[in-house]
Order: sequence, then C-alpha cells, then structure tokens
Amino acid sequence: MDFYTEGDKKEIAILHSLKEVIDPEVTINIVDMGLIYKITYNSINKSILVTMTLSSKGCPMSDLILTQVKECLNREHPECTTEINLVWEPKWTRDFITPAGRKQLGLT
Amino acid sequence: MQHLTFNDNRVYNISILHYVTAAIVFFFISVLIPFNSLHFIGHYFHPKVLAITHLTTIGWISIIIIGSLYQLVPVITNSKLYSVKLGYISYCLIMLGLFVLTYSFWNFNVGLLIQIASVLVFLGVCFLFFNLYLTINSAKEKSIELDFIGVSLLWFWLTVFLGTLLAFNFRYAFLNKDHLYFLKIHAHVGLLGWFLNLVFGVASKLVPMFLLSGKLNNKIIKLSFYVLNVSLFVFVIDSVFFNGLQRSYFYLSVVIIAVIMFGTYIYQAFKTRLKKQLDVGLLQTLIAFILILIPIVLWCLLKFKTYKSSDVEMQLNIALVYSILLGFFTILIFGQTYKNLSFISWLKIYSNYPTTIKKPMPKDLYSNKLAKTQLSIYLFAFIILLYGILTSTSYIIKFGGVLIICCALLYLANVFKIVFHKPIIYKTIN
Repeated sequence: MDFYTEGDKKEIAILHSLKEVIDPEVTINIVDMGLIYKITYNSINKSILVTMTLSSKGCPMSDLILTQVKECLNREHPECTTEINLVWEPKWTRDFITPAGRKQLGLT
Repeated sequence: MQHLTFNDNRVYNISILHYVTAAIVFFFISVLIPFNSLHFIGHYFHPKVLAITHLTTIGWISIIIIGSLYQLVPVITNSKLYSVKLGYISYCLIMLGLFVLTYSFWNFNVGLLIQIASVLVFLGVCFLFFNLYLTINSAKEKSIELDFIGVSLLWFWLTVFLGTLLAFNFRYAFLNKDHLYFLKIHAHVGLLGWFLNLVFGVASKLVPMFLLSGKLNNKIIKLSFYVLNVSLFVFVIDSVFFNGLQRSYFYLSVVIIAVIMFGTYIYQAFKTRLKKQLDVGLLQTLIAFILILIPIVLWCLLKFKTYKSSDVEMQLNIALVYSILLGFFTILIFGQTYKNLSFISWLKIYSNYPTTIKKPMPKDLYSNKLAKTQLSIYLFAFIILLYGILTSTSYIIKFGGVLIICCALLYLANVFKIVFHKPIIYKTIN
C-alpha cells in the first residue's frame, strides 16, 4: 500500500471518497479493509487510476465493489476519467486492514 | 476489469426460485414425518420412506444446491452462466419428475409412471450438467473449488443415471445383481459423490472468506479431493463389476480420512478467523460440521459391531441416512441460506444504489431472532427424531416431526422475509 504525503492532496481526497464503499459482508469500508493499493492522479490529463485488490478471487461481492468504486469516483470527481486496475499481487491478507478497520471490527 | 455478472437479474431470479422451492418442499417433508412415523421403523426399502428420502435428497438438498450453484459458479469462474433458459428447463424437468417420482414411490407404482419420472429427472440433470459444465469450462483459471464442483456434477449425473436404471429394473430386471445392491451404490454415489464433493468445494471457498481466516493449508484440501474421489471411483468400479459392496467398509474408511482432512481445514479456518462474532449463518455452518460426527459414529456401529437382532441394524441404517440428510446437510443448508440467499436478494435490490445512500446490510434482511429460535428447536427436534428412530418409538418420531414442522415454518417465514424484502433507505451519508 502506498503512503501519501501532504502534497498529494488529490490522492488523499480520492482515498477519502472511497471510504464510502462498504464491503457488505465485513461491513467496513474498502480503504480500511486495505483493498486499495495505489491511487495515481494525473493532473495533466485529469485521470485517476486506482490499483486495488479484493479479499479473495471469486468473491461474490467483487462485481459490486468494483462498480461502486467506479460510481463513487465518477460522482465525487466528475472532472476526471477513472480506471481501475485490479491486481492479485501482493495477495491481500488480513494484515492489510488498517488500525481504524480493526477498531471497527472490534479487534482492538 | 473483470467481467460483471451481478447485474444479471435473471441469474438472481433463477437462484431465488430454487431457494423458495426447496423451502416449500422442506415444509412438506416436515409434515410427512409425523404422519408416517411408523414407516421409520423397519426396513428402509419401504415405499413411504423411499418417497420421503427422494423428496429430501432431490427436492430439498439438491434443489437448493443447484440454486446456489447458478449464482456461485459464474462468480468463481468470472464468467456468465451459459444459459439461464436451460436452467429453467432443467428446473421444470427435475421438479415435474420429482413430483411424479414421489407419487410413484408413495403408491409403489413401479411401472410406466416411475420410468417416466426417472427419465424426466435424468433429462433435467443432463441439462443442468451441460449448462454448468460449459460455464465452468469458460473459467480462465482453474481452482480446487471448481474441481470439486465439476466432479460433484459428474457424480450427480451418475447417481441419477443409476436411479433411472433402477426405475426400469423394477419392471425389466436386467441388472446383473439384485435391486438393493444397486440401490446402495446409488445412495453412496449420491451422498458421498454429489453432496460431499459439493460441500467440500463450496465450503472451502466460502467459509474462510466469510470468516476472514488467516493463512490456511491448501494442500490438505487438495489432498482430500483426491482421497475422496479416487476411493469413490474405485468403490464404484469394484461394486459394479465385482462384489465391491462387501468391501465398502474399506472404501468408506478412506472417505472418512478425506472428511477428517476437510474438517482440519475448516477447523483451521475457524481457529484463525478474524471475525470472532459468528452470525447465525456461520454458527449453523459450524454446528453442521460438528454434526458430521454422528453419521460417522453410526456407520462405525453398523460396520464394526455385530448385532443379535437385524431390527437394530435396520434402525441404524435409517438413522445413518437421516443423520446425514436431516442433520449435517439440513443444518448446513439453513446456515448457508442465511448467508447466500440474503446476499443474492440484497444484491438484486441494492446493487445499483449509490454508495452515498445508507442501506441495510444483507444480514438485516432476515430476522436473526427467528433464525436463532429455529436453530435451537431444530437441534432438539433432530436429536428427538434420531432417538425415536434408534429406539423404534413411533410417538417420539412423531414428536420430533412436529417440532421439525415448527422449524420449517420459521425457516419458510425467514426465506419469504428475505425474498420479499422491500427497499429501505435510512438516510444519506453526506
């Protein structure tokens, strides 16, 4: 997972908006779930590339989550073109869940 | 981006149709039990027992499994279901065939009627096999779950094929061994080949996913696949061409090793789970896996102990079959209904809603209280029923049956609550 500095304002805003997308089974958002690996914003051609994964291949929620990511980005950042790059490496593990996500799951 | 399958409401509708049908059939089965309690005492080759057993295996367990496969297989293969229309044709053939088959068994009409019924079910299963095989074949990546599902479909086809042969054998007696011999092969292939492979395949995928389990030993699940299927394959060949049924204790011991391997995998999934709080669906799944020990114990009692009276053996046989059907499989189905049907219904209703809208989660679509009450009563009912069968006590079987009716009604109520859920919007996030 990438880390963003204060200079990456747009990336942070995109990441924040993706917190709207909830995994209905786990009931926490996909950012805190650790599914978003990287956000690439190109200010010249105004494009967003979200590199993300899913908790497992063949997850029944996969279509829903991907569509909702796209819908969320189109709504929150209508001036940008959006693209999702679904990757399986590195494989998602539960260690990717953020401290906030762990708290929501009642693990801390 | 991967292929989108969730917008296909036609797949949801066919899955939901199967779930609702199965729930209604289960209610009918529950009604039949107390009114036929006497028939659960004696030899299992009794028209009423055969009718109830086929209603349970086809109308309840298989129909619900088929319903989940229509939704799960496209998700796992990341492709579309080959044909929804073929799914409906298969459903109509199987249900019509089952209706006639149950009527034929009930009245022991083993002539033309049972032949027509078996051919209808056989054709329905052929279409199902063709439809799902082509869907699985379109998968870009192979996985052990798909191997389990694919092989289970082959065993299902073989089970129904053997059943059709048996239906014709009533009239024409062309099989080279006696009817009961082939009936036992038919039952073994159905229970272990079709049902067990499917449970192993689907559960090894869904259980760790639902529980957010840690790293699991995938080798053990692959090994269980080969142990289970090789032993079953050799058993069928040995039984059909030689006298393998006499050596069934050996083959089934190997199958039990496969069950232990699978059990170890599931135990690991539960042990390393991140979600400590189990919802009612997962709780029932866990209980079902524990209940698999009952048929294993009953089978050991049947195979490794000699009884003075053949009555005890007969009761052990019936108890063994019903501990699998109404114990392990039924409780597993209850649990998976609360997980899968609520998901399917939720996706159908809410998948197109914007993320800004706060909506109920799949678990909010059914009554948790009703589901927990149903589970408690059912566990009690199952133990009562089993005790009644083992002690050949009709009124205890009747009592267990009445309790099962209550559970079937509660289950039906929750299924309808999920299926007829009306959209609720709480408030917008922003």
